[in-house]
Amino acid sequence: VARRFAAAYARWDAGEHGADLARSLARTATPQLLARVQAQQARPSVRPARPLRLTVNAVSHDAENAYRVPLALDGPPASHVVTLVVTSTVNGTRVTSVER
Amino acid sequence: MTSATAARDRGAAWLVLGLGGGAAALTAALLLGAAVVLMAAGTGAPAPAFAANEPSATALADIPADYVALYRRAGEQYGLDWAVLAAVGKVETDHGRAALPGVRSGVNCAGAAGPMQFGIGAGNHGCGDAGNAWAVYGTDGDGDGDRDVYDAADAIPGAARYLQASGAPDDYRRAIFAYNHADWYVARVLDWAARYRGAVAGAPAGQAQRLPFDGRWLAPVPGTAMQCDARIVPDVRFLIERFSLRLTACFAASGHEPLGEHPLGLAVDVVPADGDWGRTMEAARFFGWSTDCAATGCAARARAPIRVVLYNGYPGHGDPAHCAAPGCSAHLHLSWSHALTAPLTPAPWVVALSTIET
Repeated sequence: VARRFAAAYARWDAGEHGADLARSLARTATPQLLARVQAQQARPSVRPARPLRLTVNAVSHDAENAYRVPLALDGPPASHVVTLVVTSTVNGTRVTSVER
Repeated sequence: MTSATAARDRGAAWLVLGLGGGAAALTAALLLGAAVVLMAAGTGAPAPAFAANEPSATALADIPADYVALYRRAGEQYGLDWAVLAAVGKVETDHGRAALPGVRSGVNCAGAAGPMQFGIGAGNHGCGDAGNAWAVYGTDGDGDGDRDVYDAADAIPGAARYLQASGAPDDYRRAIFAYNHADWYVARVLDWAARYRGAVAGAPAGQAQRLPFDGRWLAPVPGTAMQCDARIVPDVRFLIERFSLRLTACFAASGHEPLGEHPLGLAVDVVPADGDWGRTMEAARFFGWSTDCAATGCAARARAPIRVVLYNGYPGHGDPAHCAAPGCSAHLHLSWSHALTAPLTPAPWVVALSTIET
């Protein structure tokens, strides 16, 4: 779930806001998170955005029965970008938040 | 840090799924040396004056000279890393050189204007609404009597004010995301900032020196709940401020290697203050870590005053991709060079970068 969300999120983050991509996000994120992601609008910059190459590099299981999944850039510099919080919901396993 | 301690501290188990081999490499410019200039404080606690980075060769080649001066002045004025400010200017408008709508006049499709692309309340012109941050953070940076969003002398300090209000310097990632809501943007800005940073200003190499024990062993590290050997406290402060790190351990009577430097107060465990493990990588490389010596702690290559650098590739240490569950708590460990001594006693001498005035 985290990998599928990360792939879709990176494209959305870079400005691809098509219906297919929104459906991909909806299949892996809670409605609340989807709404937050869709509300984030980036301004254009001098060079076009390119999707980040995000890689899932670890998973931790915390006391609240949630999984925390840090995403890093794939390749140097190996910097942490965000951490996904993944939990089990009535609709299945979903990403519930994106923490920076 | 021992496995038991790690498990207790984290309360969470990490399962490494794999990070590409290239991920260990960091392109951030490495610095040639560092020194901490200390001033006597009323309590005797040393107060380092932290030097800013000089512009790198890339910065000098890429940024117009007047912009370099404005970024550095604004950074100094608002206590920010000038390189981050410059990186924002680079990503936004290529330091005002972009021939796009809204850079020198008018607004772009989101209603943003000027070299730093502030929202000026112009509304949505087709791709969103940048709001009107200029009304709040715009400033008359050059004292010419106006606040001109198209004038870099006003816009750059305005951007500094905005970043500061958004969390910088404590959390640059959050502040940059607030500036423009995209993770690609944050990554690109941080990448340019790393390219723009040169050597630490006024930091001659090779200032490490042996400091004898003067009767005072442990001292608190300001801003933390930790204690270290008093002789390395200024170095520790430099380390955590220069690389934006958080101290998770220094002196410890137990829970660490009994014959190591934690029971002497001469080792630190650090993690990135903002979750960006590129910061620990930068610090590790600064003190001599590299992949080919990682398994031995890079003892033969460690830069003074550091004796060993335990990071990716050394068991029980490293970033979350290399410090796997169960019982591994991701961190960078640095030990200072010192004279041999028994555990839980002060070392007769310690190598430190700083000089201490008491």
